[in-house]
Amino acid sequence: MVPVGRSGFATGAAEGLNSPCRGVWFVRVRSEADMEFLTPNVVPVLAGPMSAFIALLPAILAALGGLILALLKPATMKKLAQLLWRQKLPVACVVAVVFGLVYGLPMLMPGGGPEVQAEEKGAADWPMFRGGLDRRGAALGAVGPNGGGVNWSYTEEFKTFYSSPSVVGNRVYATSTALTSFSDSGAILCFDADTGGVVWKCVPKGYRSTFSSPAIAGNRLVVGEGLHVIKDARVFCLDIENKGKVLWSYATKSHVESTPCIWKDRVFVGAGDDGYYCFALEPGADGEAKVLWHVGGEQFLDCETSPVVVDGKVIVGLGMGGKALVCLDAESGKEVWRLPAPYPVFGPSTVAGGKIFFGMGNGNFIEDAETVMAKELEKMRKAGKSIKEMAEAQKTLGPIGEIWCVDLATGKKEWDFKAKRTVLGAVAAAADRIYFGSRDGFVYCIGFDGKELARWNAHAAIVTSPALTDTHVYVVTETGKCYGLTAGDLEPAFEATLGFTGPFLSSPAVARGRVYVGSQDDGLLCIGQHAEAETKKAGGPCWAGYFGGPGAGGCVDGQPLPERGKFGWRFPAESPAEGEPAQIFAAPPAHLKGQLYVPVSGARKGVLCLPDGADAAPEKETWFAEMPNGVTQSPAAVGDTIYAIDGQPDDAKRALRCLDAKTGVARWTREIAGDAPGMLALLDDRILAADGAKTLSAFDSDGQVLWTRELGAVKHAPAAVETMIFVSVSEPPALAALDRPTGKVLWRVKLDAAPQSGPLLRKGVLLLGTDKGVSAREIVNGAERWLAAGGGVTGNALALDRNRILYVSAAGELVSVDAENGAVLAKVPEALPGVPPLVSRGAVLFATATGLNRLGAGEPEAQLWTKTSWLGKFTSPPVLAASRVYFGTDKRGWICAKAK
Amino acid sequence: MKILKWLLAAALVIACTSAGRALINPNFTPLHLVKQSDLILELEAPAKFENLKGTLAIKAVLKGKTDAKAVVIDTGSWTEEEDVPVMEPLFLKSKGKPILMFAGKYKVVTPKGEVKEAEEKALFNVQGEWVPAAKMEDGAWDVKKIDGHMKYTWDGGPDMLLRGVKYALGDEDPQFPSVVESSWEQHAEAGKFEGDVTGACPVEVGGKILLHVAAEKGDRLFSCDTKGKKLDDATAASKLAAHSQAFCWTDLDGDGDADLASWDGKALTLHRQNLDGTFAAASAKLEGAVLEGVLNLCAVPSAQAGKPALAAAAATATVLLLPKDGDAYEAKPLPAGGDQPNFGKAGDCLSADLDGDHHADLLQTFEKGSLLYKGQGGGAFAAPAACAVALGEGGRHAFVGDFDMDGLLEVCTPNRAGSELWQNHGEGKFTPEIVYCGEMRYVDALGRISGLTADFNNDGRQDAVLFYAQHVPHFFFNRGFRAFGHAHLLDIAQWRTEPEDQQGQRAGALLDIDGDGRLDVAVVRNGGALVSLCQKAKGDAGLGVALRVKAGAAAGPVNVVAWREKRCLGAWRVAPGEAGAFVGATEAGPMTLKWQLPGGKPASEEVIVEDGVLRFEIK
Repeated sequence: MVPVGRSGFATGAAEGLNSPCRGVWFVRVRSEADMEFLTPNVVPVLAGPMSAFIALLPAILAALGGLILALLKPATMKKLAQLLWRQKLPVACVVAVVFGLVYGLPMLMPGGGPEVQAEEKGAADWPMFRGGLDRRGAALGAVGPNGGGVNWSYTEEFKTFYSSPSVVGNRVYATSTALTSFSDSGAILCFDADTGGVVWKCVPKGYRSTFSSPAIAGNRLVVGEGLHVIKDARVFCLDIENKGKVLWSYATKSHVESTPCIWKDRVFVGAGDDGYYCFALEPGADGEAKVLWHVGGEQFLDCETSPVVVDGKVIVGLGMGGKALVCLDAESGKEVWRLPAPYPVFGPSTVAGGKIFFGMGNGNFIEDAETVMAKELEKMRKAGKSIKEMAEAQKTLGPIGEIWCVDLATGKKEWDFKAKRTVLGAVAAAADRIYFGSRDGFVYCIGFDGKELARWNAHAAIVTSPALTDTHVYVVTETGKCYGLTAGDLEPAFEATLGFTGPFLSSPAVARGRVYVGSQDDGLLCIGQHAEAETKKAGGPCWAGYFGGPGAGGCVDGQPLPERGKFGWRFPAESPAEGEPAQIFAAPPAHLKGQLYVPVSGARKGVLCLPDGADAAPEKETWFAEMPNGVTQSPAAVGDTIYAIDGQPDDAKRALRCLDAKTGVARWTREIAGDAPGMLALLDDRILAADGAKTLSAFDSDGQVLWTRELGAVKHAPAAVETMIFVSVSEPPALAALDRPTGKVLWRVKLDAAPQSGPLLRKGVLLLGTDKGVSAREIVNGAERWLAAGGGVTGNALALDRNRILYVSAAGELVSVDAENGAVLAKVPEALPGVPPLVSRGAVLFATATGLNRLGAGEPEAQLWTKTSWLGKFTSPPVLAASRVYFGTDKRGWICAKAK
Repeated sequence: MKILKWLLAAALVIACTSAGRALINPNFTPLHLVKQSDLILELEAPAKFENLKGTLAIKAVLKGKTDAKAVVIDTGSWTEEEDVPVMEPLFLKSKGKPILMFAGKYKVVTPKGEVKEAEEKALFNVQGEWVPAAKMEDGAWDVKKIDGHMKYTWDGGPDMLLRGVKYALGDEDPQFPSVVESSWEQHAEAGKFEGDVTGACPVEVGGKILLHVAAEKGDRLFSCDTKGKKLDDATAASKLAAHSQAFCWTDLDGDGDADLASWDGKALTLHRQNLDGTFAAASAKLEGAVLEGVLNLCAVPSAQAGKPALAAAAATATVLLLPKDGDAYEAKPLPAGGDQPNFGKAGDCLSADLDGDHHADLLQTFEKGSLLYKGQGGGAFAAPAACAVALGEGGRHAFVGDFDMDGLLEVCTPNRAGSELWQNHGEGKFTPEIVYCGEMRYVDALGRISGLTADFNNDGRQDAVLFYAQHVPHFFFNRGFRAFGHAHLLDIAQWRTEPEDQQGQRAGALLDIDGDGRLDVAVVRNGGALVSLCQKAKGDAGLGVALRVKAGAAAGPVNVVAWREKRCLGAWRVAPGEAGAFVGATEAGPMTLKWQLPGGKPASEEVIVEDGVLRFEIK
């Protein structure tokens, strides 16, 4: 009975193994009897040989054609050869040019992928799992993110990363996985930490999907190979300076899921059923791996943990068969002491303050204790064991987890701490306390004396190791959430969705204000920013105004849109009594750094600050900034500042207000005209506001007017480049380019009708929503380049998704336009005019008369995402924040819809 | 020779059928089938086969277009050596039942995840069997053999598949559940029972849902410790002192609270609930017929407002206990039907609106049949009509549920020797359909002793839980339209190997012990221990509506039909004084509840299920 995981592979104990234990098992289903536990969405990836065959098909056909020609018409072949010989110089030139184009150009222009910056020298090594003895999984002195979404993700060649990234300076190292029905391959990759560009990639011959993470010391990188079922996994040592050239490799007789530990000139690593190995870091004189000692699997059963070496002692754990913590002499491999444990020890040991901390328990990375127990009992049953024996065995197989503290010097246990379920990841140690996650869904903080200091419920199993900075601890759950918690009291301060398809086995690494972590389908991810660092530099994250700014599509954190949605919660929780006025949520909110800034009018007037990402309705709002008229347009947010326009046309005493994002307290107020459209947009260094009926003004961050220009009624957000601002004017209809520093009109073209959106800049072309469709215009003079007549744009916004422009037409269609040439790619019916589409990672969410429909990337038809008609009519278009969708309704207020 | 051929055919059918056991393919459900079909037809059975060809008239085009009026099938490709007449009888015997034909190019993903890119073909569903067919040059469809693997997709009746297809084509978000992903937390032992245990059920006492376990050596009430996820004995606090061999909960005195009528083998005692949730016992004064050998009790409407009558199933007759003043009841045997002598031993009597006329009926079950006393309002019952519902030899219990979601309650009769599910066609007509009920038919089919209906996976469909004499209980989730899947992860055997768990149950009930909006289970093992297991589900707390009928609003059970937009979730039997019914919801949104009280007008109300479990009371 092997549970089937995603991608059509079983995730469970390998058939024939007596002791299912820690590790990442991917076994193909073998019999129908195995199909008893079925999980949905099992869709195998058809790749491998077929893809290769298709790729080689032209060459094969050409070769076959040549062969047939040579056999049937040898004279023709001879003449062809003679001709080629006579024209040898031109032919040689052509061959050289083709060769240069094929091989040389990519070397000069490497793939058009993200930029790779020069390597920063002098950074600390990452010589073992989680970077050091204290297993903090963070670069020295690193700060972690407290906001932001995805900075970059690498999915080009590999989408799956089970290993935990290792970070040295501005380089991130990880091993990848590509497991399909036909193939099993992997690679060792080095990335630019800031851009995600691939610095080098090493694919040793036959290298397979790998869980082991790279250990780095100096110019050497050592890593294992394979997943749990591999029987001949190798250990590799690479030369980092030489773009990952393999220095040596060694084939073990089992799997190497353990992450090596480099200590002095030695490498220590576990090899599953083949014991622990110690290699010389440098190859022997013959260029081969040099085994210094090896303790076999007979005495050291199930060597899965990642070793740690301190004071000449190698500390390792033994899993299912062994159930012990063992200390070996680093020089000789001789056993110094052995501490038996009641459960399999899969958690790598952490050394801090003269103590060893490690986790243990029942269950593994894929299966909880009950599943493992059921399998064990089933095996016993099949082996003819009595019910009494099974009952006895059951007592030790139930869900349990423990952390032990052991004296490093003596190997004596000092205390233990019990969790409800197993602890598989490493413990991260601070000066006087440790942090760890458990399969029971909690993140624990325990003092060095064993007393619990804090715990936080993640509501999902944690099988990964936490990353610890001086102020925060970062954890990744089985459900693909990455949380940042305050280190003191484990209060959530950051949250990001890594993806929706598990398993999530990669532990986060923190460096450069960001989290680096692998995922199942979304590749290697770099997520989050550190607010204080980001606000100081231009180009930091911001919500630029209506719908996130030109082209943003209602999402700026780059987090994925769930496949299906459902109602999550509403705010306020209760509807007003009959006859009582309701709060009106008339415009989309601003979203930044874990907070939503919701414009409110009606019964309450102002800006409401709510936390994003909550699965249940927040018990109370973060703050509410009251304003006399109420806010009916989207605020803008950057750094620690919120901007909002108080009131709508014809209201008295309207104003542009600047608020403190943390408290909602007003910083400054600038009056605007009562008849002003009130459009508000944020650029890097200034705020633009339509502060008069016909004027547009630029303000600096202190509220000082930089310039005011009379242009006509500006109702849509402008777009900007470094020196210019592009504005669509509704009355009289026009498109204008302004000098960014002065506001001087550089050019202005008349439009046939009022524009339906602000301009959007893409590759030096302005894209404008009109009553006919999308008009592409030259940046230098506003001349029309092409018109995509897909139907009039509604909803005041165009959304840009890679090469597509998306909008909802007046005819009620979701229109997709090729951003390069204006070709109308698709029209999807049933869209609700006036509500712009939400776009994230290729998926589009659009409103219909009855709900929200989702059009996945590459899918021909939209699917119902969730019904909303029972909530009332949309009063504001949906935006995506932390993978939740937020929108206003007329019956039930502010709605959060989340993954179903 | 001919007989041999027929025997071979029968063996082949059985072999093919058995291949489809114990599996639901989540990768190719009826939804995939309908989506990938270019043409779906409802056909009529051929009148005959001529030259190995049969003509099936097209009754309805469900999807796609065709100008044809009939579909021709050809069984001729069956070679002489293997000339087993499987197809012809299969199609011919389908007369009066729908035959469905699906045609298209199917990308079947097997349960293993293998993708089978098939050629264009047709799939016929005939009498619940799947027959693939290829198109021949003359336009006929070449039918060869039964494909057992397609039962992984649908293993229900063709009539239900027809409804399922219409649902898949018409609903905006159709679902055919393939799996229940929840499992159980650690079990908690709440107590031990000596002697016989005659039943268990949730009941509302003092505004809280408690578990009542009826036992000959003393009934007990257990309160739910939501934090501790366990049951606590609350018998002493409730002052309930009953020794029930047969019992029923109802509002005996019309005060709105649940009271217990308990038969201890000798006498009937009325345990009335006080305002503070305690109970006061009083012996019922029985007049008229002598009451003895009571098997079970149920509440039925009476002529006296606010006071229900009680029906007692006894070995010799069904006795109606009509309320009189105070604690007095007049015992009046119900007339027996002409067929009763042939029905064998009596079992449970059930009170429910079985014919959909909004009056509670009384069904007295027997081993070989049953008597249906149709309710006529005002406590009156019509003369009994013989009914097909039979308990089977040695059977004792039955329970109702609207498993095909049509507004009429089916009857399930679990039996050690083989259970049955009786499809309700209205007006007292029932047909046995267990062979078309998916995995409920064959997953540990023997040894069942009792069961209950409950929506344990919160999807709004009525599921079935079956208890066993010498086995762990089984949970069968309704895939919709009376086809059940076995909830493997909820099979306690996966987690518990204690000898007692394997040795059957005396009684069991489902109630929300931990307050997470999902039903948990409590069973009294054969060994006497009461254990509870809380459901451990992924995701948020469960959503749903807890339905109640306020005592006094109706004198007997009422059918409440729940709707989610255009989709009927079926009828729930809700009786005053009982704990009510729980209709789950997979996600928040509106639910429309429709009912009609006896003598009243049709009523409906839209409720919004938004967060947790919404309590809805019909007043």
